[in-house]
Amino acid sequence: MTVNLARDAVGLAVPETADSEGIKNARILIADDDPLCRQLVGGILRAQNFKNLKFAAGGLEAMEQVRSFRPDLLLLDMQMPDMNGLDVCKQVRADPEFADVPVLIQTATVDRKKMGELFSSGASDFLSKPVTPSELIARVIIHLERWNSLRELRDYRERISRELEAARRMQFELLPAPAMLHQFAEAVGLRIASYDRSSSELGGDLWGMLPIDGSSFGIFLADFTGHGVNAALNTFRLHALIHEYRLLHSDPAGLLSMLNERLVRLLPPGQFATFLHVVVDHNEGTLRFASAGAPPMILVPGIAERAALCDASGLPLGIERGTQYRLHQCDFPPDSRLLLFSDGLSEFPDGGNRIGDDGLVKALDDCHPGLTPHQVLARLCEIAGITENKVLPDDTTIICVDRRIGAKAAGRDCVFVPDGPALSPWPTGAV
Amino acid sequence: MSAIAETEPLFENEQLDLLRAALGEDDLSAMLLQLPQAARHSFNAIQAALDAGDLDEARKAAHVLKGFSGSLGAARLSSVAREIELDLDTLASVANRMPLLSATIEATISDLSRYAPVAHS
Repeated sequence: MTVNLARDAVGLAVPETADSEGIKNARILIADDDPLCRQLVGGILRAQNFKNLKFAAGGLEAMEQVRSFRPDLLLLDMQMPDMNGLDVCKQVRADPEFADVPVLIQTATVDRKKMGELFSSGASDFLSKPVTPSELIARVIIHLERWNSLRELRDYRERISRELEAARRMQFELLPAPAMLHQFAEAVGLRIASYDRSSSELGGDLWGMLPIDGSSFGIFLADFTGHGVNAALNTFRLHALIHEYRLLHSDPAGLLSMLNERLVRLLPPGQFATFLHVVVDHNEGTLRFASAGAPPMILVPGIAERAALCDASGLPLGIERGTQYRLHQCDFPPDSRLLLFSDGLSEFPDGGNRIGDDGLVKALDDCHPGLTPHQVLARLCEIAGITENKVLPDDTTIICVDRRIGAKAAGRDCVFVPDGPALSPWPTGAV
Repeated sequence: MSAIAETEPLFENEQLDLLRAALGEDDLSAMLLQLPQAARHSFNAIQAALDAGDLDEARKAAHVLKGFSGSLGAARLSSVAREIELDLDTLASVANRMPLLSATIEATISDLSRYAPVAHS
C-alpha cells in the first residue's frame, strides 16, 4: 500500500489518491484526558479524511476501547490521570492480537531517559506536544502504511498456508489408503507398513500399489528432484501418467520406459525423478523390478537369511529420450522381508553421519525376525536418527513388506511393543 | 515571570497557520472559540487545588492548560502554565503566579478576536 503525498505550503502531507482508501478506513483510537486536545487531534485527522475515529478520556477507557473497537492505530497521551500512556501501551502489547499494532504516544518531554521508557514500553513512535499537524498526519500515515503492509503479508502467508494444506491433503489422497493396504495384505498373506514424511508442506516423493491380477500387484516409489510445490506438482503428473499406462503395470521395464518418454517432454531441464517399480507375484514367490536411478531395495529372503541390496541401475526418469530399462527378477519366498525407501532415509541427516544403504542392510540384519513391518520401520527410523520432532532435509518414504504372518511374535529382546505409537503424521498403517 | 510576558507573543502565528492548513478556517475558529472556557476552567481547577493545599493537583491542572493552549497556538498562556507545572515547587509560589495567569488568560481571550472573529461574544 502506497499513499501518494502532496505537500502544501506549510509542509502538510495529505493523502490524495484512492490508493489511500485502506488507510483512511483505519480504526484510530485517540486517548487524552483533555477534551480540547482530543477534539483537536480528531479534527486534524478528520480533515485528512480519516473516517473511523474513537475517543477515550483516560487510560482505563482506552483499554476498554481497544477490546471493543480493535483499533488499527492508537494515539495515547503520555500523562493521563487514571492510567498513563506507557501503562496502556504495555497492556496493549501484552495481548498477542495487538503485539504489532502501531502505538504513538504524545508527549511534551524531550528527556532522553523518559524517551527510552517510552520505547521500552512498546511504543512504535512518539508525537511531540504541542500538536504539530504535519507531524501528526505524517506519522499516522507512515505507521498505518507499515501496519497495512504487515497485515497484507500476514494475510498472504495465511492464505498460502491454507492452500498448501489443501494441496498437502490432495497429495496425501494419492497415497494408498490404509483400507486398501489391508485389503491387499489380507488377500495375499502379506504384511505391509509405510512411513512417508515431507521435508516441507509438500513433497516430491510418491508411492503406490497397483493391482494387477489375482496373483500379483505392483509397488512403485518415485522421488522427484527438489521439494515443495514444483516437486509436488510433478508427483500429481506422475500419478496421472502411471494410471494412464495401466496395461504396463505388470511390465516394470516397459512402464519405466514409457513414463520416461512422457516425462522427458513434460519436465523442465534439471527436473527428473528416480523411480522403482516392483511387481510382487505372491503365488510364484517372485519379485520382478526395474529401477530408474532409485535407491536399491533390500531383501531379506527368510527368517535366518542375511539382508542384501537388490541392485538395479538405470537413468532417472525425465533425463534422456529413448532410455531402455532392464528387468530384474529375484525370489520372494515365504518369510521374506522387503524394504523400499527413498534417499531421504539413507541420506539422513543431510551432511552428517548418514546411515547409508549398507547401514540399512546391517540394521535389517539386526532387526528381530519377529518384528512386524511397522516395528521394522520404527527401528530403522530410530537407527537413522529420524524422530517426529526432527526436521527432515529431504522427503522420506519407507515401505516394508513381509511374508511373515505366521512368524513368531517379537521376543523379550524386542525394543518395541506391538501396537506402539504411530510412526508418521500420516501412518498408512501396519497390517 | 515578567520576562515571559514581554518576550512571548500571545499567539504563535506559525502554529495557527499550520492548524488553519490542517483544519480549515471554520474548524480552526470553532476550536479557538473553546479556548476561553477551557482556560478559565483550568484556572479554576488550579485555584481549587491551591485552596485545598494540593500542589500535585495544581500541577496536573496546569499540565492540561499547557497542553491545549500550546496546541492551539496560545504561546504565552502555555508558557505560564508550563512554569506552574514544572518550575514552581511550592503552593506559595504557584499562588503568586495566579494573578499573572489570570491576566494572561484575559489577554489571550482579548487577542483571540483577531483569529476567531466571534470570540468576544
